[in-house]
Amino acid sequence: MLIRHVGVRHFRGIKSLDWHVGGPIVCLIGPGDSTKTTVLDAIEFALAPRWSIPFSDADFYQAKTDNPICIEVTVGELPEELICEDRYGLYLRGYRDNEPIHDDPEDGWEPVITVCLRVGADLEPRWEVIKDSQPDAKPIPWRDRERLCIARLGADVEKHLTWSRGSALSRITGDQTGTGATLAIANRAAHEAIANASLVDLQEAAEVARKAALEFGVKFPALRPGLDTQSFSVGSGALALQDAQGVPLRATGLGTRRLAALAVEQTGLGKDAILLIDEIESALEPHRIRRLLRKLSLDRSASSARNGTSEVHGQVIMTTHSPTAVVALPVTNLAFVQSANGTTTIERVAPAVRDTVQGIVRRLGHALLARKIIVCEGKTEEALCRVMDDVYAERHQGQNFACFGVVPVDGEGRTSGPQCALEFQRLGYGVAYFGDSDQPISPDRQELESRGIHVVLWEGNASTEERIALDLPWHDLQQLVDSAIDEHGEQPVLSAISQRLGPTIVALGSSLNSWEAKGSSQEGIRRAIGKTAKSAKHGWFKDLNSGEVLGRIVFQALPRIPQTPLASSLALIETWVYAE
Amino acid sequence: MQNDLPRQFAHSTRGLVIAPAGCGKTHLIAESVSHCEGRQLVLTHTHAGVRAILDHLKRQGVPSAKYRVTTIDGFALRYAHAFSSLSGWNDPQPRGDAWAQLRPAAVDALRRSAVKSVIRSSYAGLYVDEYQDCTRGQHQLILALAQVLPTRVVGDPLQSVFWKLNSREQFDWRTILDHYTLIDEISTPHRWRDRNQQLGEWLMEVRRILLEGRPLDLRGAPISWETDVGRQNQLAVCRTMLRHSEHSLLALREWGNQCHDLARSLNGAFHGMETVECKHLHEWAQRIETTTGTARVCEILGFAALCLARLPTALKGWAVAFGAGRTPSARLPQYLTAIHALTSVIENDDVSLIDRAMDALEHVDSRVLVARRELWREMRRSLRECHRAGGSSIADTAWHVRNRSRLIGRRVERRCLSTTLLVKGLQFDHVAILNAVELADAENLYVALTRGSRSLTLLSASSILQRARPYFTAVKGN
Repeated sequence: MLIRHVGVRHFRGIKSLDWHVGGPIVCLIGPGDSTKTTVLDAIEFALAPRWSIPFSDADFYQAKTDNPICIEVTVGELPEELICEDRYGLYLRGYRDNEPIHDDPEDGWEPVITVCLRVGADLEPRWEVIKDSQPDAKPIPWRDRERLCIARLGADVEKHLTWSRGSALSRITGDQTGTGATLAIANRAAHEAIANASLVDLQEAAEVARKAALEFGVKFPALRPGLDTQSFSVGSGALALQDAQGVPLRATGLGTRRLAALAVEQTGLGKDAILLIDEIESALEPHRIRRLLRKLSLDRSASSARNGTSEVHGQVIMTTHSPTAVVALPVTNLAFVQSANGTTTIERVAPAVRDTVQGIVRRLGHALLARKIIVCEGKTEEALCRVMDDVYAERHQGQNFACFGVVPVDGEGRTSGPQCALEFQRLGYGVAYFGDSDQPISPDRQELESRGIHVVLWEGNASTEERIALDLPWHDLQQLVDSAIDEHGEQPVLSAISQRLGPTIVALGSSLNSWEAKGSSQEGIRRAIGKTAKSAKHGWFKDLNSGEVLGRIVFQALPRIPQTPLASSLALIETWVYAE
Repeated sequence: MQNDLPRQFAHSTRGLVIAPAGCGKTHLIAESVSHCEGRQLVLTHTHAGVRAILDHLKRQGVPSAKYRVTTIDGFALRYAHAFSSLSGWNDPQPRGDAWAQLRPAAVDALRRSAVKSVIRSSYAGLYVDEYQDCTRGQHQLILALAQVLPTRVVGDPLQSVFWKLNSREQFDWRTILDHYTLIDEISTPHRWRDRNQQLGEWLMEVRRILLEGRPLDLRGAPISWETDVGRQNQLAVCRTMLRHSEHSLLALREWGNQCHDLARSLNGAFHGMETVECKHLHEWAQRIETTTGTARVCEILGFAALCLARLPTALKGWAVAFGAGRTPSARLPQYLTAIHALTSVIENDDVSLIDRAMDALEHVDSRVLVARRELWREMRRSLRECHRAGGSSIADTAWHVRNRSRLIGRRVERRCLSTTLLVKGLQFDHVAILNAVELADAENLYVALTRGSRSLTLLSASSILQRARPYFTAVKGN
């Protein structure tokens, strides 16, 4: 089974949601209160084989019961027994990714059914399969919903490590009649053990009771203590998984317990199951998270390979706040949740920028868990932002970018960067774009701003290095050149500058003053350094480390040059980061 | 019937069995279903046919999970309506000619792969009964299903009485072998065993004669045969049949109104069968609905004259009086009640008053006989339902009432006067064909001759019945 589409109306924090779910592995990410867990709850309520669900007014959007709760979950890859005529075969509809659901399964469309859970003011849940052309919705009893094989994993960890009724272990075991007989024997043995024990104190009390009863005219030949099977009876729930030493798995660490329960549950449900897992990372170390995700993903691709078809079996829908999980999954598996005024939207990364976003995630796992993203044109700008983060934290009572959920990322150039910025904005992030102004960006500034992106470009058609070289105090500029020489060696640095200032420079050494004395203007020297520093081939600060060196020089000098365009642009970023 | 035929039939994928009347066709289907793996879809034409097959399946102890029996058109409607954008079909209750358009619409839906998968997961095979009665559209629908399911069909070209009525729309049996493989022709006249074995065997011989277009000589046949086809003798034959009080009786004539006329003369001893669609009901519902006042009273009196026998002669004057705007005078209290009821219809358009007037007319005299019971009762039921529904259209309500009786199945009276078309598929103990000349073709004659299982009476001016070779002889002799 595969959930293809989820529609929610008036359920808890969700006034409305229309979500095209996508493939077999889906991981919901989004800021707190973006209704991720509510989405899982909605799916679980609609499809889980529950007899009833106790709803309360609080389950309605804004607790207003006038608008009924309506959860419509559209499911494909259906088992044969559900699409026969007497079940839901005459309720089949057609589905294609990102298109409105067709009421009929035209050729080329996947046959699906839509299960609708409605709850009105009477709080009675009603499960039905709906189709526009069928005026009467068809009720779907829990027995049939059970065949949809949906389960919330990790909810009842302890239960699933025992053979109690409805547990995953009992499902794996199947017929339990043998177990029942064994348990009866265990109960009898316990009974006998007590009966044969010498319980002197208890026996005395029993004798007292016997005599007292006799005085009231009730005659017992003997009374003795024994095991009351009504209050003591070993049920199937008492059968639990234990390790070789007899320690129940219940007593192991939370992470171990959780993983074991997940494993057992998934096995019990079978490969076609739809698994819902909230906060997949909870209690798990990074390597265990990675292993778990890999296992879940492999299970779903291995079955397709074995069948030799593109058919995928089963589905996992999870939520996470863990960068480990985000990095371990391809971005195509990520679903970005945002919520505004009750409208929840869930988006996937557009194919056009998938590779860039994937790159960002690989380098910076936590980027997608941020609320605001500064898309930098290149590594130089990203490094500047990182230094800014360190430096500004001191000015803002120790609050760094993380406190505001801000992450700077490398957008990889002046076309990819702006595209990424637009995409992040669409996915629900607050976005700033930070880049050079020596060459036009595309999509252009106007388009970015029209979509609400905060655009910071240097004044005066300058690259970052040029702007810095123009605005730094003379002494700090000297420091900048010295750092470049430390990094790349005197010879290559001076010969590169000499391309612009003339061959004499090489002989003069690295002192800017000596260059000026030899007739170059300060302005000319600044421009030459700026151009050379950014030149594509021999750029001085094009990786994060050297970029941070540059950044430290800039931010040291910044308090002394508050009026420069450099300072005012950086201030724009500061304001945006620290705005609530 | 060969013992392994049901099994052989079950294992065929495109099988045809030719089934003469009374040779255990329904039994064959039921037994064959019991030999199948998985659930079988069994399709036939009429609701009476559905019930007959269901009876056999239950009697033979076939678990109900192994079959679903329904009519071809009911099945088509279900699918066409469920997938309306694939079929283009939006009418949940088609009437009349609409059925003909339904079938291609259903085929449109059944061609889609998703719908095929529904069929595949619902059924493991298909049986179709009375294939000779299929229209072209129904035949196409079966072929669409046959793409997905092993399909076995049963039919008899000699019973294709609808062909002459509508050869443009009926399936042409001559092409049957293009679609199905002939497995066998069953030939044991089970229906007459223990009742009139001799008649059964003679009818198998008659079948051969008719198929070959040879003359049928009635002399020496195990039947009663009389040459007087006059009305008096027809009535006499019917009255004579009445001595079989414990058995079901059928007298056949060519036209419905001939039947009703004879039934009236027989004082209600025989029931004149209405057609399935019951045109008279719709026609009169329309007439009563579209009139008011005295015109409506005249229609009610006209309808009463059609349905009721032995009405007092005084009533003839009533229509004249009401028509002239006068209230007829009467002394008898029942008459006064009826006149009063009719007068209130003039004053008030309320539908319930029409039914009350009809009730008064039915009881205007203790001798009154409801000759056309079915027509009269369905009209009164329609009026009452129409009233309960708040006075919606009488004609519409009549259609619904009739449609429901069609679905539930009419009760077949034990003594019927009818036409061949209406009794096709029904069985009676004693049958009288009141004028053999009226059965002009081999198919009609064959169906008529094979209705009775205990005795057959034939009125025919000539001792030799010569009929043209039946139209469909393509399969015979293969």
